[in-house]
Amino acid sequence: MSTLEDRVRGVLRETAEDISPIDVPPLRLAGRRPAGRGWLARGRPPGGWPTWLAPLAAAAAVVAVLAATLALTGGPGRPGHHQTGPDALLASAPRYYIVLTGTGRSHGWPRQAQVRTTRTGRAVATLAAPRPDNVFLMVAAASGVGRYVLAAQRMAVQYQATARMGVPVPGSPAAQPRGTVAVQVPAGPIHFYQLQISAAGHVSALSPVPVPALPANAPLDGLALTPDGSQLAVATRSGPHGSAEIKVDTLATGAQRVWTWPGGQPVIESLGGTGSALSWAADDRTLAFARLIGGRYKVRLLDIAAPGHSLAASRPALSLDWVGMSNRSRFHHGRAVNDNDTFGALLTPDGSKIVVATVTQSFHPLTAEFAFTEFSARTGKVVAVLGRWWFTRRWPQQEQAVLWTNANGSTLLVQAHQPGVTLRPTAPPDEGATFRVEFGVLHGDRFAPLPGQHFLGRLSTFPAW
Amino acid sequence: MDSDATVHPGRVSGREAQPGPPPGADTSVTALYQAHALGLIRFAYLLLGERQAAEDVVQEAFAGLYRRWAKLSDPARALPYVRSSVLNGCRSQLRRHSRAAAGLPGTGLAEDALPVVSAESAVLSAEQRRSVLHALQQLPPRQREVLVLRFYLDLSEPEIAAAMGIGPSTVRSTAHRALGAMGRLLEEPS
Repeated sequence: MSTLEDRVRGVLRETAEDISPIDVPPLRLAGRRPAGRGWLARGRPPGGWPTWLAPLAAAAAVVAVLAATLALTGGPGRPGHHQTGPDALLASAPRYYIVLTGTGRSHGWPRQAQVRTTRTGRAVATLAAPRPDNVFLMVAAASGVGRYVLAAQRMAVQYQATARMGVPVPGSPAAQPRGTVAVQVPAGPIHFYQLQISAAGHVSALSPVPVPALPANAPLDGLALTPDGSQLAVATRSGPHGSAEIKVDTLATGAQRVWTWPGGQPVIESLGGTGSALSWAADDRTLAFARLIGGRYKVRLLDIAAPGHSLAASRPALSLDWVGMSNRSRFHHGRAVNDNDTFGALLTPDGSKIVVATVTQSFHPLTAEFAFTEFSARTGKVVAVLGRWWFTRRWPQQEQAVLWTNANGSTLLVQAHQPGVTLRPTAPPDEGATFRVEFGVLHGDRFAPLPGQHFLGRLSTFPAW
Repeated sequence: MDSDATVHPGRVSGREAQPGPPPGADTSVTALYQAHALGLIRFAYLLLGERQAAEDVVQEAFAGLYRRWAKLSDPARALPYVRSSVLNGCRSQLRRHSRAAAGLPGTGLAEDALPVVSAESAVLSAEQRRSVLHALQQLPPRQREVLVLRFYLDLSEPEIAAAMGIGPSTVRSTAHRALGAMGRLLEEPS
């Protein structure tokens, strides 16, 4: 084939991708009887906008899946978005996960790491940070090989006081509990430890890994193990302005490579502490890292097999509005909506997609739509949308997060809003509402809550699979 | 045929309503839409340069298929039928709005309308894209249609011929002329 034909084909295909799968509107067929298709039939009065047709048959093509998602999640407050089938979904996720938790009623830095089973939530092991460290900061997982690396540090109490705790209850101030408030500061370097979970479920003790410690006041911005557990990426900062720095350590040999970006914004993800600022492809050489620049959440791909030590040599892969910073609007199927707000991003192990927890807000009428949107790692275009759910009112200021993805992004472990659960139902419509968020497995539009959840009061206690 | 009676058979008054599509037509048409809507909207977008117009053309094509489902002798002909309808719808749109000169998308795109791939790759991509799209714009509509059908939808010559309502040999010669013109416009041997 000639170069010209290749160019024409390439340009046409690239231009065609201006239309993303989520732009495909539901099919509107005039004259179709409105009865018998559940909520879709209730959507439009006779004589008004033609009734939407419910896609009925599952289809293998992505476009078909997306079209079905669009049509089946069309109504605010539709029950049953997070359908069950929980056993099968939970079984499709890694068998164990690690969560960093406080002890007792403490909401301070997590002092213990719990190994739990995904299917039941049962804790099979609880570990404390090895001395002299006394808190855990972050955990990275290579669940496929049962290897986990935890960052730990010694914290010292700088200030402590007794205070009333919790939100005042009108009319009964005496009922407020009292508790201790402590300000803890780093008092030692950040160390890295590993543990192994065998196929039979045996959990090893924590042991040091040959990764140089970080200085006491060094920010730990991200931590990620390659899927085969052989390499650990650590995101931190260097230089007087805290520029981005990523270290990659080969755990078998202790070899380390360092990439820096003098003057560049540090690696970060919007929630802080979930570790999703870094993620690996299974090729053991493609490392995704995220940064916030000018209100944009940007993900770049670093080829660690390439020569050089500059993060600037990485390839830009995605650029989205960050949560709270999106003021731009555009018209989408006749509605004014803002661009995607972004919570965090993970590269799928096959390297093909970047999975992002997103919210899109529409102003007339005021609705917010949550989803887990998957972008092509090559083109930055939307290729799939999972877990789409929307509701009236402003988005409730609580974040969703994607914490694990299978090889191609079809199954995720996420922190997601639980539809239909409103903790402040009387809130004014323009103030949003507080919804309960929960962890679970998401596959397509099906969601299975993670059993045995505990209260997650700190962002740094997100589980790792 | 009375278009209102066809589009809204249940609401016709004062005359006999047309019979509706047969049972199962909605399922079949919906399944076809699920499988091909994205590609056809993109195809229409390449010809029209407007996404809303492209969506409307495809919606109307499937609505037409739904109305005529009972007359379709072979369900396998549904896709060629709707593809041809989309092409005809695009031609009508272009005639109606005299968009032929500015039909293809992308040539006048603002920088922030480009894909958000990256600053670096966006520059390269935009320049290449603009030059090829500009060349495509210079082609007569029929030549442009042949190239889009061939290089975007990957249709064979008989399929292109069926969609455009011309003979296969005409498809071949039109494609040859179109590529020759593109080569000259882009200063490349075809």
